[in-house]
Amino acid sequence: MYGLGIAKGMLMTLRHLFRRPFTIQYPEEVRHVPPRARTNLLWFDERCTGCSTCAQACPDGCILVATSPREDGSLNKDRYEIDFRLCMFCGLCVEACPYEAIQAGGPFDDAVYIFDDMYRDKHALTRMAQAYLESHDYTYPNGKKAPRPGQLVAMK
Amino acid sequence: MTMKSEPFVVNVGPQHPSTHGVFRLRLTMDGEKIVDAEMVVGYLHRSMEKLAEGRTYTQNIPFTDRLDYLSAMSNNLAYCMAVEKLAGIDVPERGQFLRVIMAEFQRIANHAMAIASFAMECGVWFTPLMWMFREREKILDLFEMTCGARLTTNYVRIGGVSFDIPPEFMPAARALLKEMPERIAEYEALLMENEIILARSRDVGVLQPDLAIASSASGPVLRGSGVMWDIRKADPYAAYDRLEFDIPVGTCGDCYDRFLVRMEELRQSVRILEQALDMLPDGPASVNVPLALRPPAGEAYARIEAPKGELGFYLVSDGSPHPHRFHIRSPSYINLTPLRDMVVGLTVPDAVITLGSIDIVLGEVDR
Repeated sequence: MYGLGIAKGMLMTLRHLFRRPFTIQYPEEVRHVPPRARTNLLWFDERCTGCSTCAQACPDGCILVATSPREDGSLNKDRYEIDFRLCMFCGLCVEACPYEAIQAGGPFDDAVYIFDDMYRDKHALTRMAQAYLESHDYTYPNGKKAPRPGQLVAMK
Repeated sequence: MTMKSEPFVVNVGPQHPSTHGVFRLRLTMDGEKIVDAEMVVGYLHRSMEKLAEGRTYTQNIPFTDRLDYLSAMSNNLAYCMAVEKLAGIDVPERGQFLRVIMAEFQRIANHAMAIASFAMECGVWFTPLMWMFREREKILDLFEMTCGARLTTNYVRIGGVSFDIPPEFMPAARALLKEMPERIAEYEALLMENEIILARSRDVGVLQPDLAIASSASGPVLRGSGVMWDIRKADPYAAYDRLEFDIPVGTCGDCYDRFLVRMEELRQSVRILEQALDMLPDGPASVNVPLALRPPAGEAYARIEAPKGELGFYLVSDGSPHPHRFHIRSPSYINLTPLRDMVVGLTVPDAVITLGSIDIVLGEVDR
């Protein structure tokens, strides 16, 4: 009989009328973000040695590392910049880093009005990383404990 | 007395919702009938094959996400299989099973999208789309907890996968698989006997089996024409040779058959997933591969049954860390080739449905 299929579909739709919605209202309710989510890249100055393995692993070449040798043989990080205009959040730098100095995590709501503000130098990256650590009880995204601000001065 | 009208040209696209992206269909019309169709592609061309030649083998994996962005896992898998074939790397058993699990979840997500958008083009509006996005959303959540991203997953690695599954993956996946048969029954009740879909898609856009084979169509487009060809059975890769499943085929090759084949593949994917989750062995998920992998000089072609058809990667190595040649055999592009023969003689709304039933993604057509 013509119309039976539509009636059947309508009945099915009707049955769904009285269940709870599956959607959430975003700015008021925030979905649980799993710990592995590549929401952003956090760079931790205190862990980085300036080896630039991340820059070599990056497919887009959006990481810039410039270093100069110190007297004791370690490297001074003159520049460490991530160009988030190019970054596609593939996470290859995170996998490449031997010191876990760059980790996936952090804010996902960091849209900007000016495109070039997405270019972050080491100061901007450190501000973002410190803001993350402050709000997460000084724990890195991988679960390890981070030094607190006072301890960091003592280390130097 | 017969009236003869001047043929005129209708451009469908490049900015048109039913082209699934930026695809232009140049239809020559005689009155309401289509007498010729010309496909104009290239609006989304990103020269991916050339870009790949300047990057290392590992760095190319995130680029393959952007081919068919609705089934990134399958693209990752096909590319990594080609590199492994080139370099002679064996993947541990657990890695093989994880790849199958992710590829099959991706197939469900892709077919949900394909069926939903096909139903929308037939005039069945947002209800199927919203319902299928509900299940797709749960699958994307599974991807996110495993690899950190929802669409551009970048999960499969040369020699295995990037992360093993987290402990919360298994309960979530089992819960999803448990409710899937009920959900598929819901979709079928909603769509299968729907007169709108039947009237719009039956005997529309018929693709004869010999033409389908001659134009090397693959995936649901080929199987909808009644040709039993699935690379998971014909040339098993990963762990598919240890899993039991059936290949659904259509009978007459119209749009409705392709829709039915996709619907049945949802069920088969659930069946594969249940077996794969049970059989998932312990052990390492991947082997260590150097960051700048240098495969020996040579060439390799690896293919998988992606949700849209046969996805193959052809790689030529000259012994350096970069591929010398990187070629993609993308199913969407090749499935488009019989479109002209399918739409000639139809009207414009039928042509839109035929295009929708092929299930193209322009990221893959233009790459």
